[in-house]
Amino acid sequence: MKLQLKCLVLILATLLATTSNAQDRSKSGHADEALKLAAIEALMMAPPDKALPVLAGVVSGSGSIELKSRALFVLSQIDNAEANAIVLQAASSAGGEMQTEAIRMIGIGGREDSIAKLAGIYQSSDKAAREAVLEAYMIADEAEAIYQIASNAQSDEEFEKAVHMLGVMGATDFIKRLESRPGATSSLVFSYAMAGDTETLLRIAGDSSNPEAQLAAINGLGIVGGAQVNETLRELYRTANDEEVREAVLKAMLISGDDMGVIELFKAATSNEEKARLLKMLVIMDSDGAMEAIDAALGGDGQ
Amino acid sequence: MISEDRLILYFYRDGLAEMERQEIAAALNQDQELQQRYQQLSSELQALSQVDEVPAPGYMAQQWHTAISREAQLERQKQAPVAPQRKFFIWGLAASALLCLGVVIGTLIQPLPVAQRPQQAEALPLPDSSVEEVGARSAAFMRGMQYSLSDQHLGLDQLPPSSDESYQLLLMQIIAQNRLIERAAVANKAPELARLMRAFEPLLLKMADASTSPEDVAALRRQLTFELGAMLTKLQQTSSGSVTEI
Repeated sequence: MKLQLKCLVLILATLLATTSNAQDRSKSGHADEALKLAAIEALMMAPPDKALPVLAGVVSGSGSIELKSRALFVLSQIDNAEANAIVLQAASSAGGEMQTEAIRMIGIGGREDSIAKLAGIYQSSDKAAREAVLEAYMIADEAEAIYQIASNAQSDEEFEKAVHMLGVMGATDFIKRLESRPGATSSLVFSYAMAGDTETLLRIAGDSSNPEAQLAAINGLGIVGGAQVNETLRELYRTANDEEVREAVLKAMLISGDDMGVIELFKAATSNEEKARLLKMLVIMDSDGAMEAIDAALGGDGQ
Repeated sequence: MISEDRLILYFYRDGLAEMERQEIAAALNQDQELQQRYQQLSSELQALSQVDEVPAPGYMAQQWHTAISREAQLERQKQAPVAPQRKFFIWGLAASALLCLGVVIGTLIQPLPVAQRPQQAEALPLPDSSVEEVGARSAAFMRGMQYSLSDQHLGLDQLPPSSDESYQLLLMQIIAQNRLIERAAVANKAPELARLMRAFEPLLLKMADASTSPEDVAALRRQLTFELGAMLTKLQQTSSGSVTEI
């Protein structure tokens, strides 16, 4: 068995180290690449001490980003300090796509010591790498670390990206802790919607003291959708005095696809102007009830 | 021999002509073995309907709505019956994904509390288990995972070109499946798998994004296929008790 594995590693190493000349590459570049990728995948089966030097060679070699990225993936699956160091090195200083891939691999690998290094990488890196760090935290389920970035954010953009990721993770407890940041409500509301936190959205949507947040929450409710939300939106439309709020509610109903609700509002509408607006919405929604409503508006003349 | 796919369609009263339904009903009356198979299948499918829903993030739900609406609109525009083969293919894919998830979610999950993920399954106390029972559950989970990941691998392989009208819908099914596998992995204390599933989601969403070029879609697909394949290799090694620890 050991001999077989040694042979396998030797073959793979030779395969991965082989660099054909330019002419050959132009003829069989794709085939070479596919074979090398298969070789890297095969290294998942090899003992770490044998696979490591081969993978390290690929990462530091002149192969394609795709090849290096695959090697990083396999390295991230090896529970070994040396493998970890190679991935960390690439995540800290490789730059470009190689760096962002390495950062992602740290998230996938999930080693605590490597995850702890991501904060430093975040501080010293460019925008793309910072976004990759946020994604790596998401992959590793490290909401607390993202919360720290959001709470120390130096710009609105940085704050929004971090909060967005908390929303993706459904980490509403952390999002709520950020509510005290001035002007943060709108981006927080969007994250509540992504996290599906209907309760908080309903609370904000019903509060007219912060119109900007209210409109954002109504929009968020549309994204979440569902029977409870649909009923709330219909009620909000009926009771709202502010035209902007009603407009936002209609858009939210469009997003949630509540055409039955719009039909209900259409039937209850008292002015022609409002009926026309609701009818237009039904047509945009491609509702089956649109023709019925059109017929009603035409008073049967359309038949 | 009536295939499982046809029995599933019979169960859901979908995709079979009246004559085919009658044939199956007659066979069920006459064939005791078939009757047993159908009963087993029915109970599995019924159990599936009781599986807790996993709320998807809003942005994803919005994309599903869009994809589904587009599909529905296309169906309406055609105003002609869908070709049976294609309908069967899409339905079959969804059904096999459901069945596969049923195996994972319905049979193998022992829900555990997960901090910061309030939308996930609530914890249920586990009965005292022997080491053997825990080992058997763990092995069953790994087999279930292998099955699910193989299915996902197949789904990626069979994805039509991104220009195809069913592409987005099928991709959304893969995303939904991905989320459920992640949930199963978390509940079964398989964090490495859960991380991989979470890592897949942004790539799958990029693939679903209409602004992603076909070349990038192809590259993303290759990446996902590789990572999925590598993880499958690792799982197979784990379940076969292979020597290496990669």
